[in-house]
Amino acid sequence: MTIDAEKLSAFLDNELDAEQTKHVRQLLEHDEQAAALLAAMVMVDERIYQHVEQQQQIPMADSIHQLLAEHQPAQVIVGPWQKARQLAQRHLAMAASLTMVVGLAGGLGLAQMANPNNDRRIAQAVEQVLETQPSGQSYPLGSTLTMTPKLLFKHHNGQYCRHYELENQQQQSITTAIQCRDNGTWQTVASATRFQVMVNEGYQTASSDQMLDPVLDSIMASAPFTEATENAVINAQWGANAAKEESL
Amino acid sequence: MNTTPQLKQQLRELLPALRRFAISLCGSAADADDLVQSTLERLLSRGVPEQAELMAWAFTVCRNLWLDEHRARQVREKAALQPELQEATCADGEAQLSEQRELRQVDVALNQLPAEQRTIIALIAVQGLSYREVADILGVPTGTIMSRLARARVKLAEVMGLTTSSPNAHQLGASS
Repeated sequence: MTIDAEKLSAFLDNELDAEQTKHVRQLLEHDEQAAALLAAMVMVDERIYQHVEQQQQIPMADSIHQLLAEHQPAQVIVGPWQKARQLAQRHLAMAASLTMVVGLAGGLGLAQMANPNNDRRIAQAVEQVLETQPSGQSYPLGSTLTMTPKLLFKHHNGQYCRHYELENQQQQSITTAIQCRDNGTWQTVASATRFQVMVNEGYQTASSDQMLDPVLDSIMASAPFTEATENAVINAQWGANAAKEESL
Repeated sequence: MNTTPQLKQQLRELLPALRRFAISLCGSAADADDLVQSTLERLLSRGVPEQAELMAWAFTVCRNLWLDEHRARQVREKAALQPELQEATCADGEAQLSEQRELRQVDVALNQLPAEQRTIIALIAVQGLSYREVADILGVPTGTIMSRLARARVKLAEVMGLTTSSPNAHQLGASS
């Protein structure tokens, strides 16, 4: 007795009616060839499913999330330093894995993300934290902003630079930025803002921790300062005494 | 016609299934993401008719875009299967080699199917849709779905080396 492949296939998918299902079961009890073919079909489905699932584990292109995001896509804003700008443009374009829309808007700086009326006040508050506070702690800037300095390091050109995050709870965004100290003021080298995005079946605000890694890699002269070194530099007010910090 | 915010919300919910379908058709996440992106762009720019069921409509758009690219994709994948290129990609460790071989085998097998059979496998074996749902999406009778699916499974079992004897011993359905 034989059974056709169509019925076996439909049996596998539970698409047969009760009578046909019963008939197939009876045949499978003594038709080894049919049982082997059914097993092969099961394995075919399983291999395809596993293959698809494996591919499914690969993170989806972020451009797809951006396409469906409710908010505007992130902008990477790169400051006026020619060298840093060139490096950032090249590296960030490559890193757009990350799906950031890479833009060059020299001079707009961090303030673009905020209410224009508050630009100056926020920028001053950010500079105050950069100037006086060590990394690793969070500092509230008003009711909706929280700033967290991440790193202090030296640029190849000798300037001190800081990497930090600024979370805007109202806009549900995180800006990560690098500013470097130039003659007593903090100039924005690069910044990028990520808004809340949908990932798989839920929402989350993408971590911005690594967004500027390519820029950091390209401008850091050496490893970030230790906590003790940071404190020494800050306590020395970035001045003459700071020259000693690297020996600490 | 759906408004864009509503449609975006619905598409976000549908995204995992749509991507799984695209991976089934394309074989790789990278190609699938290109296809998903094109599908979403098409859906967002042209909208979805009020009477259409979104998932069925999205799968249809996705499949049509894939069919448009199918010939070029096949040429590209055949080139990628050249032995000299395979060697270049299989470099690290026996486990990885084995995994790559198995994945490659699935790709090779799927690439040997006609497009309509591959679509049906994707919708039923991977998405878990019913024959009726797939028939509605593809606009063909359920009997056609049943026979094409059986042929696809038999062919895949052969190519994957899962059959010990010729499956031709089993009659294939008359409808196609």
